[in-house]
Amino acid sequence: MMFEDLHENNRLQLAIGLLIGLCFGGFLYIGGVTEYNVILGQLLLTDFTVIKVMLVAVVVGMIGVYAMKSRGMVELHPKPGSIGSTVIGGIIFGMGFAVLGYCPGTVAGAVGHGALDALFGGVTGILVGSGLFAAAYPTLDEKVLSKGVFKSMTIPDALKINPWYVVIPFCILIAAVLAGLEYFGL
Amino acid sequence: MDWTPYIAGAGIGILSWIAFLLSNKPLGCSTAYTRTSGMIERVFRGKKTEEKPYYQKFAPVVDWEWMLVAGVFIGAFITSVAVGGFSFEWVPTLFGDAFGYDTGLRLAVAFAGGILMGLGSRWAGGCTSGHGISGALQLAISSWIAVIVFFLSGIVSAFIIYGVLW
Repeated sequence: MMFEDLHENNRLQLAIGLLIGLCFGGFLYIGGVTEYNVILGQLLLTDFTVIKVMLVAVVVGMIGVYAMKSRGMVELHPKPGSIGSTVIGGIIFGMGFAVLGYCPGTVAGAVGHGALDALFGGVTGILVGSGLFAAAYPTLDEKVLSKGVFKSMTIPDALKINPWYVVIPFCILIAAVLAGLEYFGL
Repeated sequence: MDWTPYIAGAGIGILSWIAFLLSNKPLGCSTAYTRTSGMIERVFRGKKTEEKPYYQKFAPVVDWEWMLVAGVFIGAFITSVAVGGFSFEWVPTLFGDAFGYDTGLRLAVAFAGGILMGLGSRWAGGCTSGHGISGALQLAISSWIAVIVFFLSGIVSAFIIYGVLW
């Protein structure tokens, strides 16, 4: 892995985090995805901006990150998951996504461009929800989160194949979805 | 054709390269709220807060991801001011046109949605950035399942809220 000394430098890392965040916030705003109307438009299937931004980020990110991984420059950090955690948590998240109209990243960007519902409703609600989860965690971890743990971390691991045999088809598939959305004027 | 979603998406993809290379971290946002929630709780309950098992995993301190979320706020602020898009707004127009421009109603709904979002993102171990972008680009199984469930549940919920099917 490259830049290991830099990874250990905590103060510099905070500055890098802030700088990456600044650009991230700028891109989220330019893409339009810090708007409630755009996010709800996606969930109501009338505006496909959110899916476009995400799919393009995934394709560009995937090619670069796997290219660096193939050269031993970076390490992957896939998250473990389970039915109890990923699926049940995902259902709750989706309900929150539709009711709030922002997610944890875009809500911060929305506050940045003056959305006061994002600040006084969204951020405070997310803080309360996170606190409730922390309080319930020991019980949830034992009874729910540990149910149906996924056996593999990544799709190439599960298939036991060279990751590029997955990366390339995924990129082609995503490009086809994007071309389809543009073709139909969505 | 509107190229802005493509420019934004490509920019975020490149930021994820930089995050992996310089910080050995995927982009993600939801743990920043857990840490902040812990910091607030510590003001009232003191050291006992840090003994909670979840705050042992995610200590209530300012870390890389916390700075990232702070950066998202500042970055969107600067960009919106620069392009003349900054404006204070209590009720988004889509919501207001459907349910009325009542600030109290919108804040109550947003607060309820925020609680679900805070619970759900930590329950699922990530959000639209951590699972939806960073996890998906790593081809993580948990993340592809998470992002599909996020959108399916979000679409069903939005259709119910806006009464699309009746």
